[in-house]
Amino acid sequence: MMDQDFLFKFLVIGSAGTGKSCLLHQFIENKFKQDSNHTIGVEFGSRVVNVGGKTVKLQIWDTAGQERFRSVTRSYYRGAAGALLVYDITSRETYNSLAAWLTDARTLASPNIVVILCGNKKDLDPEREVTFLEASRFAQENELMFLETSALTGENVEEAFLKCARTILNKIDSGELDPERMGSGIQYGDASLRQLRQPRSAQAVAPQPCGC
Amino acid sequence: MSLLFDHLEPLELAEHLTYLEYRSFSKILFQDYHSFVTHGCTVDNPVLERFISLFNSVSQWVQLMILSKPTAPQRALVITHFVHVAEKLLQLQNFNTLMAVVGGLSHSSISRLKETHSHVSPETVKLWEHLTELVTATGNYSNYRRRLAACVGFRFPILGVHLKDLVALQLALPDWLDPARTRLNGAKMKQLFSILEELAMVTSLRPPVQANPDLLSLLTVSLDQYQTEDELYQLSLQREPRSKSSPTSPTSCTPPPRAPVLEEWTSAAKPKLDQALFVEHIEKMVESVFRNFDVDGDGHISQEEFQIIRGNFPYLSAFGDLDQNQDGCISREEMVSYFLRSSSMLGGRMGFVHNFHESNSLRPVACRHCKALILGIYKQGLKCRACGVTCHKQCKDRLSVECRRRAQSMSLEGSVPSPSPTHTHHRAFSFSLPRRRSSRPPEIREEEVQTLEDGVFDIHL
Repeated sequence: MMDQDFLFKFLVIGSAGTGKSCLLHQFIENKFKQDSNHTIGVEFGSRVVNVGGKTVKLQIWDTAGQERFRSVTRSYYRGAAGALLVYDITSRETYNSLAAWLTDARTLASPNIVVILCGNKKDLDPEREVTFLEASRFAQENELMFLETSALTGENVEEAFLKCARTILNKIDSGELDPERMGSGIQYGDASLRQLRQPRSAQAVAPQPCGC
Repeated sequence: MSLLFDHLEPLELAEHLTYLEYRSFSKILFQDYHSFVTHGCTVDNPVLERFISLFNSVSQWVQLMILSKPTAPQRALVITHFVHVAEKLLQLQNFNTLMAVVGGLSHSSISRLKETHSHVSPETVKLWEHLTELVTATGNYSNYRRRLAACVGFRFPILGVHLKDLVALQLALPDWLDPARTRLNGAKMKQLFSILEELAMVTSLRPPVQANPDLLSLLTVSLDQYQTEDELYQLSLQREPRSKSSPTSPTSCTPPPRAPVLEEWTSAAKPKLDQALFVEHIEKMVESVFRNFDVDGDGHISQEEFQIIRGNFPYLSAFGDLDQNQDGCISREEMVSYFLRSSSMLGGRMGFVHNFHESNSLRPVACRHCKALILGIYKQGLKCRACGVTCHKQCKDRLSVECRRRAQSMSLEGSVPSPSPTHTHHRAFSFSLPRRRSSRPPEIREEEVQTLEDGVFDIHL
């Protein structure tokens, strides 16, 4: 893992049956197939991407059908930097539970977690129960990014992960997120980078102006 | 063997939990796994649903037993007790229940209790850290997988983890290697086999435990209790309110979660149990209680004896009269009806958690938390349906007053005349207490009492 600049922990969350695992599978297919000889890979899925000139390894954790085991899924959240919050555009029920998932992510992972809302199964437009407008309004009210995706055709899947990673990088650049802080879900990929960044980390120890 | 959970040895409790979960697990068939994996979730799969809900119940029950104790040292004792139960579960190689107990203990409603944790001994903390480390999700549960692989004899894997493997495998690899479907994907089949073999192993070996049927029936009813995660968290906030000066999270610069998000919280962590099954559990438990306490076999037990049993259910509200015909003894029927009424399964609520709703009030009302007036004219504040406490929406999470139903004091205070015009329609009922309406179905009665109490309290505003 020494050849990338950052490592981000990502979550894929949402109600059962929304196609979270398919999204993940679509995104990291190649890596997944290579690793599947030992028990489903030690990291459930990871892929190195290039965002804005930086190499970032995305380590993606999926609950894969464990949503009903509440105490199991909760342990996934710790220290995640980003999350794909997934609902199914053909199921209002999955849309209605978004608020609860979002609360979970913000209370259990970090209030600063960067979340992108994904309306999955875009390919099933005739059976749509949630309009684009409605969901984008929800996203706006809750300060989320929003995309409609299709794990089947692959539409917007790559974009969703990259958009989320790009936002995290921007927040690091602007100082809003501090990779040095425990539980930020961000790690430097390289020891030399850490040294380069040393001045900033010293700064971060000093009390920062509070935005609230 | 004691029937009181507080007096049980950790090993006894661990064995009984293992027995219950094992019994539920052995009902799961291969078809159930197949259906789960092809749908990615439970669809028409009651056996698996029941197992999952039992797992979640154990987590919730652990939290409830801790949160039901009023003082921090008492809560620390319960935590210590459950850490030792978890240790025994590990000895029994029951990883599934271990995960449920660890999940309950590490839930945010418990882990945020700083004062409580300060009373837990360093040895217990060390043991606890060891146990959490074992079942952590890090590295795709690599610690757990290693430990499980080293087990000999009876073992009970964490079903959730292996179900996840099945789902992941199903999605990652195709069944056939070529489009013409002539070559089966051997790698996938091999992996499927090893996961299913592990699960099949559980049913082929019996757990090395013995269970007392009476204790089982009591435990079953305890685990049937249904609470939302929000209720548990609210209770936790009442036990140790958030302090304003020192925010719990290091990331204090973000605005607090906005009200809409919290109010929309509707997640049902587990499906509600079938009502008939629930009644059956209660009847079975009452039989067990009488077998143990009604020594002379006359079909009655005394109030004192009942109070001992009630100690197992500290989170139930003290609801109405247990001894309905006032003869000083409690019959089977009275006890069954008591549990039906006070149980949260049938629409009742935990004894000390408020049931807030947005309220309109024409006159200014003070907030019980910050003592300031609640301003505005429409849906300006929150009010508890059961005890009538009012507070600001933003103060809800800091309010430390427990909910006390007003059923007992109502008859004394009911005649205070200061009618408020908005609630006239409630007051028509509000002076006779619903004590003798045993012929009505329990759920209706609970509903009425809440309305009643609501109405009565408004008079005092």
